[in-house]
Amino acid sequence: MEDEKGYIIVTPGTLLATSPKTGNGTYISENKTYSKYLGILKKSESHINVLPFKYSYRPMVGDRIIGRVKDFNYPFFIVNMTSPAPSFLYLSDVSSRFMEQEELLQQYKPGTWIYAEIAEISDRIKLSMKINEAKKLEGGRMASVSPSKVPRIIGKSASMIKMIQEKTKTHILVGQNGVVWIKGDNAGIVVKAIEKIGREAHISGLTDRISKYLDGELKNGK
Amino acid sequence: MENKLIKDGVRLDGRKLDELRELKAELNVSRSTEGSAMFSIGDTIAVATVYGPMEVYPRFLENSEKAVIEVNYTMLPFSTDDRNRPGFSRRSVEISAVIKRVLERAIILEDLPKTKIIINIEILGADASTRCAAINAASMALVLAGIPMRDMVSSCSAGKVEDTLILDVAGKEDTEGDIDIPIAYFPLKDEILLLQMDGIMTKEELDKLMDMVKGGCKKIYDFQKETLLNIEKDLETK
Repeated sequence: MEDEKGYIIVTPGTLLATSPKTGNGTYISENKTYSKYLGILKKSESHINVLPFKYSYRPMVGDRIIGRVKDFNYPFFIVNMTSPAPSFLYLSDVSSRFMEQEELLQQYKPGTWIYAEIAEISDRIKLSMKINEAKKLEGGRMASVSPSKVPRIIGKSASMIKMIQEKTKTHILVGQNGVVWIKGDNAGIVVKAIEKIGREAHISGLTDRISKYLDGELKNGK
Repeated sequence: MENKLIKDGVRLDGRKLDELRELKAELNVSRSTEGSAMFSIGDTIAVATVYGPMEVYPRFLENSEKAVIEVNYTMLPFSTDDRNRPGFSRRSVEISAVIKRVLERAIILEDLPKTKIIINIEILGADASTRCAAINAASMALVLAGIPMRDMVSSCSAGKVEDTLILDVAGKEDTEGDIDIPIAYFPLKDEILLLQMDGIMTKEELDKLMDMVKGGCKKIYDFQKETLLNIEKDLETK
């Protein structure tokens, strides 16, 4: 937990402040703030956050996720999206235009990957594909990272993902649940790069390093 | 008795009275799980793997306010000198229940409603205080799996052999000693989560032993923490 590297790693139960402070990844006990996770400490004047190295995805309304159709059970598709609870895509929410049930069943067979939005969380999680970006994912490759690393893959104002897409000439979709879909000839290199981001997300200068890594890999490939 | 277990304050294996055996730990030993850890103290080796949080089956166990945890402790057939019958036994069920109670206090269950966490603990080598090694391994694996925890739990055993109090019972001291006490300790709040004992001892002796064993637990806690803070090295190699 050295400060020289520019970040501090904390373990659960580490005393972070002697006064109750708000933030993510912390808990308050007897007016003191402690860490909840093994992760990187981010301190500001009013907040204390701990960014965990790994955590399971917790669905939020409005998240765009990549999931896999597991089964059909009238009137909904059951979609697996690597969260503890499954999500449900109702037939009425599959498309903004009208489609016959038989046609939908043909298109969304079990095993199909989809990109959708979480529309509602009540007793069950309801998905919707009525947004413009939503689609069925055909071809391409999948990669997965911890959901805590998703902001790093996208980068500040999408700088990282733009850079990767331009260099490798691929098309990438990132789900908030940590599933990434890559389409293009250099998909294999992108999968490796995403794994690298997952490992080294906390070290500064990430975009430059990934850029160099991609240049090297692309040269080797040719 | 000809072969004394303790001679001039030195034990059979050359340790001092309040010395722990060698500690070793390895992180993420299994790739298919959310988090896993190996913890060994001397010849006792425990491997813990954590699955989840996941859907609760059977459904009636589901709790809408907090997570449900399941602990499976098993000793592998080759862990002891005589072959151990594989599968669950009366002993392993009891120890699983005991460990479950310890971990329920350490995990912030309210953060993960309607979910289940499965913790499997395998004992690869048994040389006394297996439940202590199991708790240590399980708490490290839970931290690695990214499950919200109040603090890490550390656990250690102590005992009484030939009227002398010793820390971290091992080998012959376990089979021929008078008393064996495993405890699980919560350093943050100075809380004792597990205390089991067989044998007879006075209150003064117990107080003394508690101080000793808390010291041992703190050493283990520091070791666990140090190992986890070195996670970066682990990430680079894998």
